[in-house]
Amino acid sequence: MKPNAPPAEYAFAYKEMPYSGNKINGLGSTEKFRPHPPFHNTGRGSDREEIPWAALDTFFNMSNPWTVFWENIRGLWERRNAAGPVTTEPIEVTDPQAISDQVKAKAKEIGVELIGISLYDDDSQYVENAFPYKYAIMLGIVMDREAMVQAPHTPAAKEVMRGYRLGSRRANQLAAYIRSLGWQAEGYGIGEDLMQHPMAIASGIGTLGKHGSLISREYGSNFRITSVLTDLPMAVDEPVDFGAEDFCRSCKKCVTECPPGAIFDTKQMVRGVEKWYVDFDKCIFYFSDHMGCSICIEVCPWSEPGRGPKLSEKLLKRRAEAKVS
Amino acid sequence: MNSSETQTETRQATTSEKQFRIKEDSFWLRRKRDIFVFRYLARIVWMWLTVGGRIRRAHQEAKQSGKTYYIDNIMGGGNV
Repeated sequence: MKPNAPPAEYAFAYKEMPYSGNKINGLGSTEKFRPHPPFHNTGRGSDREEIPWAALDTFFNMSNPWTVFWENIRGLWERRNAAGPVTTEPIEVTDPQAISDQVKAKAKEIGVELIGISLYDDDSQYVENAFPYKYAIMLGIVMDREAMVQAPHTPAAKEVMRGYRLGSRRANQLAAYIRSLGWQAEGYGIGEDLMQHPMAIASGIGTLGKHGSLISREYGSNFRITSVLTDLPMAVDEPVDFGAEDFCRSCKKCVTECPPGAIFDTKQMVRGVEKWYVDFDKCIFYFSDHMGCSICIEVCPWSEPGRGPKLSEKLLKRRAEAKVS
Repeated sequence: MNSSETQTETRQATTSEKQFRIKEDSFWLRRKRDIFVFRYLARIVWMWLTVGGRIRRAHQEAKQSGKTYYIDNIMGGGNV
């Protein structure tokens, strides 16, 4: 276990445990279905009472120290600029690839480090959720490594919230740019109902790691995801394979460093798909007691600055050699 | 009808979502939205200061006394 990480012992508990988050998520189920949100779900507003783990979510939000809480509030304030009017005629799109390149260049200009484009798909969302758009532009905002190595303590939690706040702002800026081209677009940042992981994987900004978070080739898991949904026709990107999958199969760093032992060492069947999965019922208490934790993404070898591309090169070479022999 | 259209019918946006996201080109609607968001956030900050203060104190006391702080009824202050 990480030396400065407190043990998984809690002074709080449920008298009556909510329905298992793993069951809600479909752990062990071979059937494909869209899950209910078990925990965070700010966007549902008045439906919030329906969230099974809402009490723990409230405990999490209310027990965060002021500096972390304030970053969250600032992020939520950014949300007000997520949508806006389209006041010009839409530009005619004859070359979707050129438009994709133009949008990506704009995203880079406003400070987004990772960007990928995928189709928006209702089936990747929580049950009953739908967003009336065709495309998802996925943005990755890199976090400050020096702050993140202090996980699960306050500087890392504050940096996570800062990442979401900046990500929300960048998403809103990009959405405003697309609206200036005459196409409707909305930013989705902190506190939204949008399930972003499946689209982020489809957009190629990263692959799913053993710790349940995305791993990008360049930045490992040291980034936050926000997004823009739009109808602007664009060429979409493909999922990437840069060797992280091979790496996760043999690496156990996040498994051994996770204080509550929530990370499975092998892939699990989740809603009809075998994939890396984190035990929700074990993770969520430590996550809530320690400001969102983040140990697993911090200890991931891919998150060490500059290490990812070298690892990728080595793993792909090894895979190619294995194929030849 | 595509999947987006059918699913949109199943869940209407909540009042808070509608008030957060203004798509009309109206200066006054945007100001109204800013006031709504400001009040919404002020309420959360007030909660953090009041209910949150009680929760943090109860949790701290439970830690020190070795008892358990039960969160089931957290909005009512929980029970140690």
